[in-house]
Amino acid sequence: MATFQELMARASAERSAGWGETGRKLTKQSQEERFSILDYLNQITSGGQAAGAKDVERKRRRSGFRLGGAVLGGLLGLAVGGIGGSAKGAKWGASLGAGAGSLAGSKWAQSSQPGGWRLKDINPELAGGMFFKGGREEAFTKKEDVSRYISEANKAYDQAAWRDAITDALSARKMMLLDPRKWWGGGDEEDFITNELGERVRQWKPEWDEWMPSPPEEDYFPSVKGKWSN
Amino acid sequence: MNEQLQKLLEAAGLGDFSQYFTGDLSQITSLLGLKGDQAGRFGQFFQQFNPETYLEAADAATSARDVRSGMLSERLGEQLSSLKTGTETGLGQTRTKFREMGSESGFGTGFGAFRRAQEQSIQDILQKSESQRSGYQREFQRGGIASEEQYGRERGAIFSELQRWLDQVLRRGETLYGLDPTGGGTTDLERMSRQGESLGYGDAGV
Repeated sequence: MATFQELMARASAERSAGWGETGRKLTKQSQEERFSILDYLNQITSGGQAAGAKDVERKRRRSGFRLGGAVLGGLLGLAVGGIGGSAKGAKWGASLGAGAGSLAGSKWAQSSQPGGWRLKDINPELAGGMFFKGGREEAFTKKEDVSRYISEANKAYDQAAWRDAITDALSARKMMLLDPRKWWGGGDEEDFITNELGERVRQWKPEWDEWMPSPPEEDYFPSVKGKWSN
Repeated sequence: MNEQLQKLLEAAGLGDFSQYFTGDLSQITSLLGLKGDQAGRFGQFFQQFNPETYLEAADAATSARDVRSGMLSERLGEQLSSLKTGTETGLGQTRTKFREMGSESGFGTGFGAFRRAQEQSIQDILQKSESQRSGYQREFQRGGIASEEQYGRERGAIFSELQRWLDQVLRRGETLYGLDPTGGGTTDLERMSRQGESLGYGDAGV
């Protein structure tokens, strides 16, 4: 029969070894889960960074196609619109051509984007576990943030082609309405006159009537309103 | 066994915590506040209490005390028996001695001086015997006290070991809570996914 001391040594050994073993299991489980969450977070971060980089790259690429398309379209529109010899036709042709060319360039850049124009959604895997509830939820929220960013970036990229086309058409239209000498500034001085009060004011031009009726004279020269009615 | 264990735990001051010692692993985790599926799954991180060794140790301590007590009683009996024999022998020898002296002198044993000397000698022998008997009894009592102290130390060692076991259960529970348990592997990713979809996060396409 075992002595008291032997029995106590056995009890102590059983306790120590048993808890040591279960502690090792706990450490293994928790560390595996911790590292898998870290890995999940790293995948989200790297996926987000890759999406961001591709977003910049596809925009840069599209801007080149857009510019080329707008210029070519504008020139083509100018040529086609000008066949009739009408100044109006040339201006509208250049505007519409620039818009259409911009859209075509953007769409061409979009469709020919290597690897597809869409930013791919991240889809990292995280197995269920027993620990780190808050950490898992935080990681999931971060994943959703990146997914939302990718989704919004894709939508914005797709819509930007149309928005840019309209912008380019309007820009071309504005440029066509200007005297080519004034496209890059200058040449304005001759447009100004000195009124009866000695003020320098811009003289109204008849071609502006195409898109904006001229204001009543007293509104255009408010400083003399009422004076001429005397 | 449970009754013995219950008594042991109560003696150790752990009666209120007896369920940690008598319950199975899922009951222990339930006591720590883990619920449902958690209670079953987290049981693997706990050790089942094995009362046999502790009960054997308690029995061994009790047996050892009984043996020591028996040995002390036996020794005291032997000492008292020996003392009694020695005293009787001494008294017999004294009486014989004085009888012989009385015969040789012709005064007989009733002679005053002889009688007083004999009474004195007998009294001395009895006093010495009494003194020795008291000594043996004190020695027996001291042995008894030492035996009880030894028994107390052994029981204390058992109680201490039980306390350490309970400490480890509670500490493991604290560790688990520190690791933010998910509900026994039921992190509701599906629920969170549905929430995400309802916010329009589910589809990364256009």
